[in-house]
Amino acid sequence: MPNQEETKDDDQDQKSASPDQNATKAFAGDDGMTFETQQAQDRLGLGLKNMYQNVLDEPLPDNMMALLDQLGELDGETGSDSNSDE
Amino acid sequence: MSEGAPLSDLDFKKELAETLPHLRAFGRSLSGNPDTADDLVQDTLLKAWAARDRFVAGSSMRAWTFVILRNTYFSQMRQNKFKGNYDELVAERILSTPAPQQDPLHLADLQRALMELSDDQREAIILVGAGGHSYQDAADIAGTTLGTMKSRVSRARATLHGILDDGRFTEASEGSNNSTDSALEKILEAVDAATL
Repeated sequence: MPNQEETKDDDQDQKSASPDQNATKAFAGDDGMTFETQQAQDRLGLGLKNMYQNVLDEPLPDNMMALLDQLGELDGETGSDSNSDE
Repeated sequence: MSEGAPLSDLDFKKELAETLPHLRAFGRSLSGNPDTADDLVQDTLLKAWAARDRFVAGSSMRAWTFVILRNTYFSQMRQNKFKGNYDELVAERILSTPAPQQDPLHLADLQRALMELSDDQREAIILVGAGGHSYQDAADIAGTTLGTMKSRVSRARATLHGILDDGRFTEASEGSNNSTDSALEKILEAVDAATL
């Protein structure tokens, strides 16, 4: 598992190095901020979005998909509505 | 589709699968650690499945599962299961390369800065600033009011700028102040919530 993560990280370095322009726009205010403040906000806003997007772009680990598949089987015998308590 | 009618198991699972990447992203930014995050996601899957009768078809699966994930995380945080557990492996990943006179922002620096925030503020800035949720959605997920959410995001931004732009790490948050809101912070939030 950790090895998989590392190879994936390499791909993302390149992606992260070219932040997309939409994200920049979303954080660009127009309320008379100084240029410097504006740049600092872009840097943080982009960083946050890219941090999140990097994870979205990762393939899901196999064990997570397996767990999802198993969900139905765990209580398959008893039926889905047997745990309704409302 | 009538309000309140439960999804079929198949449809529920499908919506759950679509939400998985977002659960991972939310969990990872919140906890700062990929393994912790994936454990959280698995817990969330199991809990969501067990409670699937309570999910209202047509409502947001993402918001619904985010609530489960954050409640799980914060309850485990309170038991000190994974305190200050951010991932050093990703230290050099560059997140944004801004204007020439600015240093690039590294993931590790941002994650470390996020972990300096109180849990409430970290959650707020992740939901709104990273995940792109509206203030109202974020407030619903965090179980708070719109005004409080706005206040948390704005305070989180200010603190992150202080850390990332000026290298100003707060000494107070070095340890004890990290996992729960201080009383002062709660009061300030309440004031903001009343005035925003």
